[in-house]
Amino acid sequence: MAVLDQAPEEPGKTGRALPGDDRAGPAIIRQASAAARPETGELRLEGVTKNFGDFTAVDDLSLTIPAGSFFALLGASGCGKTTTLRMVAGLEEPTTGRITLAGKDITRMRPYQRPVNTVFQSYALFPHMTIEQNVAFGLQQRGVAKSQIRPQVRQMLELVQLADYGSRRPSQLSGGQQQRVALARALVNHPQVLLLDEPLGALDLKLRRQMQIELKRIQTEVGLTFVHVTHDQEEAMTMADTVAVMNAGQIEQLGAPTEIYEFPASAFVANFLGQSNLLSGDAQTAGDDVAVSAYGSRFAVPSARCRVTAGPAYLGVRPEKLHVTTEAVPDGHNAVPGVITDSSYVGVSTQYLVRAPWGEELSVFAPNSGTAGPLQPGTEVQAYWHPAHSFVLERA
Amino acid sequence: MSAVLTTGTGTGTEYEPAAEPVAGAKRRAWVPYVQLLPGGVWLLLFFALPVGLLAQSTLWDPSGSLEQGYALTWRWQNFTDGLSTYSDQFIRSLEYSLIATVICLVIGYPLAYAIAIKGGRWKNLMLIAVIAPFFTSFLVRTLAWKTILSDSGFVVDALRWLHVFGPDDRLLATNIAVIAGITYNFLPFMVLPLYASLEKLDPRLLEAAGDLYANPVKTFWKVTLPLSMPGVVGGTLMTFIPAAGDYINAELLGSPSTTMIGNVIQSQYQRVGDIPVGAALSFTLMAGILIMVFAYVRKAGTDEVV
Repeated sequence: MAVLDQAPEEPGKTGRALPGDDRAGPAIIRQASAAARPETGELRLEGVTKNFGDFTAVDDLSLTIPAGSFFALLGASGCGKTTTLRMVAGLEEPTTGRITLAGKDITRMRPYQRPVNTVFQSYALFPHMTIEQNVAFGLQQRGVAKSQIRPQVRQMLELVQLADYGSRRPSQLSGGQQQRVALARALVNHPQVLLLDEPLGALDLKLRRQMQIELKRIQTEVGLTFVHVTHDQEEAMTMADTVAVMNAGQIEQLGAPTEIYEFPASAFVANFLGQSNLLSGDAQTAGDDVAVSAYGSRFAVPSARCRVTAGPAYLGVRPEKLHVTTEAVPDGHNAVPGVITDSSYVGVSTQYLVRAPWGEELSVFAPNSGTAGPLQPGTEVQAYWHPAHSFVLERA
Repeated sequence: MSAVLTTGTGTGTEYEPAAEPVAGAKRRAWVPYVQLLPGGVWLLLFFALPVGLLAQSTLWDPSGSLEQGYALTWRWQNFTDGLSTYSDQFIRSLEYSLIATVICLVIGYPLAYAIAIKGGRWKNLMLIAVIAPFFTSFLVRTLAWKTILSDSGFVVDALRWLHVFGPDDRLLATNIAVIAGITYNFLPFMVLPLYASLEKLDPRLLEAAGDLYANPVKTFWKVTLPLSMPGVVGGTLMTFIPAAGDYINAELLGSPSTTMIGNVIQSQYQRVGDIPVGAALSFTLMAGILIMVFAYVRKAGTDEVV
């Protein structure tokens, strides 16, 4: 919680920065939610399709989100991730398919009947109500006794560090504060699933990083299922246990952030999540390895790192897994000769562009851990990598 | 900007605000008053001055005439005379205009809501349809209603056929006809302010309410209605105020038993020629409406929603 005390918009707010007091808020919530929480269960989407006229926003999507996980739907705008979220919230009805929550079919349920709450991208706070009234809204609608609403609202406002702001109006709060009110307003209901629709998109970078850590912590504390929609790959990777990369209404790959990053399933994922150098070639099995022939060279890749073992393929290497040297390439590495065409020093690393003999430029991130200065453009180098650091993808 | 840059290089020059902006601000300061001038003069000549003259005429001695002139005798009795003689018409006016305002709200709110929220690309066309009646004169429209509600009109025919009406029942010359006429004539004044405030309503707030367990009915009472209160207040005022002083509807669609205060004032001025009592009645109506409006606006608390 101390992180939020540094939030730039509330310089005078130091009341909760006492040592040891840090986790008081979440602990209260944990007790409250343990008592009030309904049965939780996995969220399943089975063959869900959503058409808007001729346009298919979500295409036969099947997905299982285990209870208590922090799940990120990652994709560029228009990939169907928000539509998927809105179908779970009940704000859009699937054209075909089924959505179940804890085994119960919720596909045709109205939004107000679902044990699901949303933190909207625009926050959608009620401008005519105070912060307290906003947070109390869901509890009131469900008919929670008045005597119980107040303490729960207070606890929740403490959790998001806005205890002193209860009587203000949304318009009197900064963007970051409004974001936290939106979060409190959803969380106070202890939904089975909390849906977050790019909730940090409107915040500046520094505040966004703080809120990412904060959201992750709150999720761990309350133990609810969070489904987070974002186009920010770094946000998805830092926060979620499972990331689903969406493209054109379908899931390209689903898995833990490291898994997706280290071994992408498709060229789209390899380039959407971080950068990749992709060499076009042809794969064929060679013992335990797969050999990729590209531009007159053969590169070995362990079979376990190959999505295809034969036919047209991409050989992929992440820029930070590539090394450049002017000396001999260490044993057991693949290498491509080239000339440095660009060198940008960015402090922690130097980013090189190395032009291979066939004209393609490879991107290399070299950590500035040594004492030697960065290599100059024009230097002839060998770009090399360990076979286990590369991967082979299908080339359509 | 340059000052910031120079301190950055260490010369230490202090930023000193230039003198011109202050003079410029001063010069600009009276531009708004110039802009107010035409409207102000207009209001002064054609509103404040006539109201002053009207106020003065409320205290004239009624024994005079327009030809011979009236004597200002500070006759406060004009007010008490007018009120005691025409209290029925006063109450009737408020009653009719209140009922018409409520009906306008009940008809106008769903209409404005449908246009604003569901109108889509038909929005402008539907708005034009709402104000289309204004393309004909008030008098012509009311005369048309006279035909519609007449004893041989299709409305009465239909009611007779349904046995709601007996052979001698009629619509014309009843209070129903007068209220219907007022409702019809002032409906656009209700719809337009309502539309303006509903159009601004963020549909995402309605989604948020639904997401927070409010069913559509609760969403309406808790979110839609409070946020459209400026339109409700504006619309009811725009309907009620002119309706309370209206006399055309009662004149054309009513009977002597449905006479409103507007009819009395009109006849005091134009038929009876008792200008002081007519003026006193006008003044009383104006004061009464002002008091009611103030009380209403305070109660509705528009400052909270705008």
